Amino acid sequence: MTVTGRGVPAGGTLTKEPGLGDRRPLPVRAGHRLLIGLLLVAVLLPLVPLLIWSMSGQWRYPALLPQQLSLRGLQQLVDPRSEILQGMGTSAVIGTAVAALACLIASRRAGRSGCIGFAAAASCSSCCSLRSSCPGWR
Amino acid sequence: MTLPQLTSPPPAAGRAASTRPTRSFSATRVTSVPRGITISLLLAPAMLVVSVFFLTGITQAIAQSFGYQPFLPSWRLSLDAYRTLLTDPAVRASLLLTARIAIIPTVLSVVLGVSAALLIRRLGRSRSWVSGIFQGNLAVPHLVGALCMLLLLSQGGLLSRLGYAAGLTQTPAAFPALTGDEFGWGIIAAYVWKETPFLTVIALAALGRGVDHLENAASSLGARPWQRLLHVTLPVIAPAVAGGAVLVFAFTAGSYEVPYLLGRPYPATLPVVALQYYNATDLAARPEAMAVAVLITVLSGLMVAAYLLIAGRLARRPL
Repeated sequence: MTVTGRGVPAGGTLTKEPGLGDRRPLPVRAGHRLLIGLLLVAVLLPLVPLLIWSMSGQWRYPALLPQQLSLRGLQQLVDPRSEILQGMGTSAVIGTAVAALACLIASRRAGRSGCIGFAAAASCSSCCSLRSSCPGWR
Repeated sequence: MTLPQLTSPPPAAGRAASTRPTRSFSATRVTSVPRGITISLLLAPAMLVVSVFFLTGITQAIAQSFGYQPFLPSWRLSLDAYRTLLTDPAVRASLLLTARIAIIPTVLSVVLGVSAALLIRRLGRSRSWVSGIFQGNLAVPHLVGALCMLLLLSQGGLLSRLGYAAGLTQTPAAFPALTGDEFGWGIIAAYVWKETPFLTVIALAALGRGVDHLENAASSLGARPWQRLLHVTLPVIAPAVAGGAVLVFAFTAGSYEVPYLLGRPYPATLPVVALQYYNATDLAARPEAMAVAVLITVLSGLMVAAYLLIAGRLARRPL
């Protein structure tokens, strides 16, 4: 889902309209690129240890990378005894139902097609993670 | 276009038809059912959900905070729970901490989010995937975000290991305690990480709506870039961002999972204190739990009132 205003294509360039003058493209300097790079690193960095931990068997303190890699965590995901897949199914159903109901109820008041996809994604993801991280939940 | 006058000729529609014949059709359609009834019918589903799930809960909480516990033999209505809160050091410490971990992330994420949106907006072709990564962050639940911060910032986390590799720290304890600390750095970091992309997306959406035209007009009238930013761009996105900021504040002040995972049991944030009271083995502590919940609700309500005030001012202010 790309959030852009009405009439502004995803690329970010406006179509020229007569009478308003040419849109002078804002300059993108090296400093801006650096700042955006930093922002992207800040957004993605916290996910890195999570990814590594999900695949590591042993990862003691001073090491920057795990001593042992293992698929134990991922195997547990698909193990029927952990009931995680089952939980994910339940989450998907709950997420879809919540998104559909919320859109149905809210669209009458402030119907914006853009928010439907967002609501669906948000509720689905939050439900999924909650349910799958706590498989004991019923 | 003469058809509507034949089917239903209420006086208002007739007048509209005579003065503005091109719009008579839609005018007749709208006024055929009284407007108030239409609006209340359309609002009914939303109001039903709000009243059933929200108002009943609030009413229960308020009643129980005054000591309404019919399942206990000796209950009586009183203000004891609120008196206990006033003297409870846990609540006092919690108020400070809650204010801190709500205000600091809100301010930081507004500043960072708006700056990020202004930067992303300048991008050409790469704009869509950069904003895509920011939006992808919105789908990460707060629970997972808190876990990420734990793995990144804790004394055995990735940053601590990097510090060891760089020769800055020798032991895990030498790394500053950023999670489970008294100040709440880890909580603040988790919230800033989660809420900055949220406000970026809001600001980007607000920036799309014809701001370019206004900026071009300002430029052609001789505005310098920073004048254009201060007097055109920021005022245009201010109402949307202010709304987002209030959401962030209300969420950070009232959310439970992040401070529970990354904070201490004492001092804890107000929602965690409420849960501590609620989970107490002593059922008589239930009114205190509800009193904390009512306190949180009142504070959130005050925030919403402040927002409505600010948003009204911002929207009315001429550019």
